[in-house]
Amino acid sequence: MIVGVLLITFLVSHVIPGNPAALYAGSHPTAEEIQNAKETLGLNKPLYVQFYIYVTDLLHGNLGMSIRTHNPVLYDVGVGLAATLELITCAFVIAVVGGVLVGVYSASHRDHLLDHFGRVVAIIGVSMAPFWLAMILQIIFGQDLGLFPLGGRLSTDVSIIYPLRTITGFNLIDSLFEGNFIVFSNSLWHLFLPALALATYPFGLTVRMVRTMMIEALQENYTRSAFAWGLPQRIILFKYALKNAISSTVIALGMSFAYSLTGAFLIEIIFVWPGLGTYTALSILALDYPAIMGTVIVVAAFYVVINLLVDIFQAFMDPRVTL
Amino acid sequence: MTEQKALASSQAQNAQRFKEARIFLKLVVRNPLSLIGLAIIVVFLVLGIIGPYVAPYPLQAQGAPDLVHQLLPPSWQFPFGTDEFGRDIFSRVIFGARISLLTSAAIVGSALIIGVPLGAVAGYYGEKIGSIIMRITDMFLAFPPLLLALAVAATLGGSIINAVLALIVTWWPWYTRLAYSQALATKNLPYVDAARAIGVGDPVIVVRHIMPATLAPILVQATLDLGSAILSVAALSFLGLGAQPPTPDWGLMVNMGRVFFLQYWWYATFPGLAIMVLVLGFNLFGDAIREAIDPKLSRRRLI
Repeated sequence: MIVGVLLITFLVSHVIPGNPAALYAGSHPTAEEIQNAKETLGLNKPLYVQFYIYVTDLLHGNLGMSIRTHNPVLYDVGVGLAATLELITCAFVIAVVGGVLVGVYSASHRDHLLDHFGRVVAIIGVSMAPFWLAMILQIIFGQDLGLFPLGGRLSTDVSIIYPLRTITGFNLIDSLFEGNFIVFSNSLWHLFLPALALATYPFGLTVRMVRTMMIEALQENYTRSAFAWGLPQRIILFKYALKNAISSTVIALGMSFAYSLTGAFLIEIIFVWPGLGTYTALSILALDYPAIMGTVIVVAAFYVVINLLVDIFQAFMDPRVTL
Repeated sequence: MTEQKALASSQAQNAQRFKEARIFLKLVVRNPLSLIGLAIIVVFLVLGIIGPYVAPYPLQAQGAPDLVHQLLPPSWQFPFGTDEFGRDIFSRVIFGARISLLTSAAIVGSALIIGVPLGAVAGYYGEKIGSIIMRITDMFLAFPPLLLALAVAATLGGSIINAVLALIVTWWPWYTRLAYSQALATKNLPYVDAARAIGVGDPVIVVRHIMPATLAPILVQATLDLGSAILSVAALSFLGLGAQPPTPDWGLMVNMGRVFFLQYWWYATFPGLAIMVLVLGFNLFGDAIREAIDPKLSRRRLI
């Protein structure tokens, strides 16, 4: 799969008659400048040679130099990845825990008021542009109510008074390592709104999938007999019914993760979160092509690995699935 | 004699189909949410068609500035307020309907045309051709949604056409996979065997017998995807890889409004609201069709 990812990103960056060379040559290039750029980038060599160079570079961890920051792309991406992962993880936890609970509740209290309410929230959640929701949350809770910061990862004064040693790159974990609860709570406070905005779409997705599967599982004969035996509802719901709905729940988790990953690209910009999304957006503005492609490759590779883990987890949870 | 029989049976079949269509309609109509969804879609369709004739400031919608009325809050004169060039946001949102509908229809339509035949062929022939097609499909599906489109759009350079192209390139594999699984399920059904037994050629079987059978779930998915496509185009525009100013594209308008947002809330709010309502329409309607088509869900829910 990773090979496939490399092949496609290679095709995108080398075969599409786009303008990487023109971008590289700077603004308003002459034909000669473009030709020179093509030679420097090796775009005039045969395709298979280009692919060979491309893959060997990647295997050496060489994603090229960023035109905008003049750092190696791999370094920039590494810095951004931790911040992005922290945000995604929080959003993912909100979406999955909330989504599964609401989905199970909705399915077991079908057509009650709260079920309708949950479904309406879920369907609106998957209908919103995440970046737009982020802006609405920012203006209501950040500006008008002043409950949460407008953006950033740490307050300036906090980061000056308590400089944080980077161990893992996750502020929440690093501050816990150092036992610094002020930084911890400040990070959490900054995380809340972006994570909420990011969680909305996957939350809606999870609710919808879990609800549908749970309704089916709850009408199977074995759950009916469990009810007839007088087992407590909680046990039936979470131990028996959810177990059979687990397959689609895990798929929902995988999709939630995927959407958190790409949603982060959009939401980070709004909240000035110093992660990959902000990095990519700035790269796009600066037409920094190596940086854009480098980010895409790293994120896609990461996603492939996560998908593999999801598949393994699914096979582990649900014996009907074989790898 | 045999002809008469065939005629009678085809009449019976038609009657059966007619009955199914009526049940289907009833299911869709009986679910009030689907009606709301349908109403939303129709309203936006009408706006997309007649928009340029009913928008109060058609010239401004296409980009003409009106520097006297910069960044005014919503009022009777400008229901959604004005932007930094003094343009009426209401008119621009109305113009945006056509762009959103056309782009999403182009994306989903093209992806269907590419994806469904490939999936049907892969499922029906199986073996070598099938596994080659599905390998390629899997490669595309290995990317998180939108990320590959972002790469392609960045390579092609930002424009609305390129954004649509980029999304088509990344969208078709989903339909291939769906059609593939459907084709696998139908290819050994008796009627396909029968067609093969009387000597119908493979290509004809794929087109006349396999592809129609894949249609129902794919249409549901396509309806839902019309909404997702709008969101994706908006996301690319938001990143600067889609429509370029002064196009009245909703995603672009939200992006432009971002800079002014904390002081001038109406600028980005209304285009974003338009996105939400239209996507909601597609989602509600798609859900209703799914419930109507999926026998497991519908019989319990609605009858």
